[in-house]
Amino acid sequence: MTGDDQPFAPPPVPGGHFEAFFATRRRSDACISDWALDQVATGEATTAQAHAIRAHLAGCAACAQAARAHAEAAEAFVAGLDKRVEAALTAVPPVPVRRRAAMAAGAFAAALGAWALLARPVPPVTRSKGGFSLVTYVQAGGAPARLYFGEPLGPGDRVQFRYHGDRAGFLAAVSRASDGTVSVFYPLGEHAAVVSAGRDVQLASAVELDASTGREVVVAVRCERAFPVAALAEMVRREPGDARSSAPVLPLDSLNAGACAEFRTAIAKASTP
Amino acid sequence: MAVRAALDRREIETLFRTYGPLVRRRARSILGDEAEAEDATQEVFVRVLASVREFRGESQPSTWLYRITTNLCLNRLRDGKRHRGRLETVAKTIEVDAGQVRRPAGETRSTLRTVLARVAEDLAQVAVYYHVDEMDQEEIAALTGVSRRTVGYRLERFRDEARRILGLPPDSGAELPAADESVAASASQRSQKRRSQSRA
Repeated sequence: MTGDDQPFAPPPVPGGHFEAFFATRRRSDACISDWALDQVATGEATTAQAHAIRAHLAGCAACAQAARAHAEAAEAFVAGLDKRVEAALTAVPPVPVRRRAAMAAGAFAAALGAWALLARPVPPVTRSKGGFSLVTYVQAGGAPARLYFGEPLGPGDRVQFRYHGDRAGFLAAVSRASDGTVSVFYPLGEHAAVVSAGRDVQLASAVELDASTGREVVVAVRCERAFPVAALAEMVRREPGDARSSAPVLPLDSLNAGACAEFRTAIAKASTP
Repeated sequence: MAVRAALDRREIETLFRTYGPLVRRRARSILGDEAEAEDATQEVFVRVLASVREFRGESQPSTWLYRITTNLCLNRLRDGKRHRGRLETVAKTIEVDAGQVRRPAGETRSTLRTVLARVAEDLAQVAVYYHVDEMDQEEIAALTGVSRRTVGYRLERFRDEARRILGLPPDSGAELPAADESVAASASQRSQKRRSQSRA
């Protein structure tokens, strides 16, 4: 019998029907895996790996869509965090803090402790009140790449925000580090700068990160009228705690700039390995 | 005495926040059911909390959690009686379809789960990492601690087993992505040998 006469010869479909049936891989071989995205999201990727992955995401629509889906799923998961933690604690109670020092820390606890430090990725959005957001882009030697997971950035990385908002206004953004230091992210001038309504509106200036490490909360405010950036910086400096999402809303009325809206996000800075 | 986690509450919250999303996402992808995925996610973390002292730090926590999630979900697939009934439906559908139409992703995943429930554990693991997590063979080797060549062999054996389970012909002519040239050469030789044997 020739090959064509074989009773079980595969049908004339490229790759065979079996290969088509099991073709569950949606991305090309050059693309990155969910595992690689998770390495970035958990902070376990090296800075170099994270840079390479971000560069790929900037040029691959399929992987960028996967990264967006991961980030959205992560936000949804964190939204229900308290219930999940309580359920787990009911099943396996935690050790009391006062006894913890007496117990062997263990490798996992030590690892979590290290990652609970400021080098761990932070959720991209911590609070938004008022209909606008800032998307973080970073430039590290190549084209600007969007941050999806709040993965750690390194010294020398240039951070630029893009505005998503349904109305124009005057925008300023400052950051507050864990030690309370407040820095101005945008704009370069003394007063809030005009921003147009739209999506992905690129802001005029970028900030090059220094060698300091840690988590910084970025607070952006958009108002109907211009206001001094120093006033916003002082307001953020006086906030109690570490300016996380649980902090009270800023007294934006005191800016005397008309109707104002606030957005917060965070960036994590790590030293380059 | 009740088991206590060797972590305090703050660490447990950090654990959930950092790794919860990937556990939940993977459970959903492997199990294909929201409620089961939610249940499996909680079970993963309860297991992690109860056994955290066993984590020796030789790998990263994400590696550990990937493995625990995969094993737990595969066990759930195996325990699911519903897969037995689905297998007959799937096999008949393949006969009619004969692969002329590319199947929707969801349906393909459903078939994959049916097969995962039936193959040996070591084969199912690499299949999950390859088909669900879209890892390449080098990543799978790093995660599982076996050689890349072994990953390639297990993927090939998985497909052979899948063909058998689904009632497909022994060799469809499709070549696996080889770990390296030597594996590709030996896979090709095995395919040639099977074709020769079927002609005889």
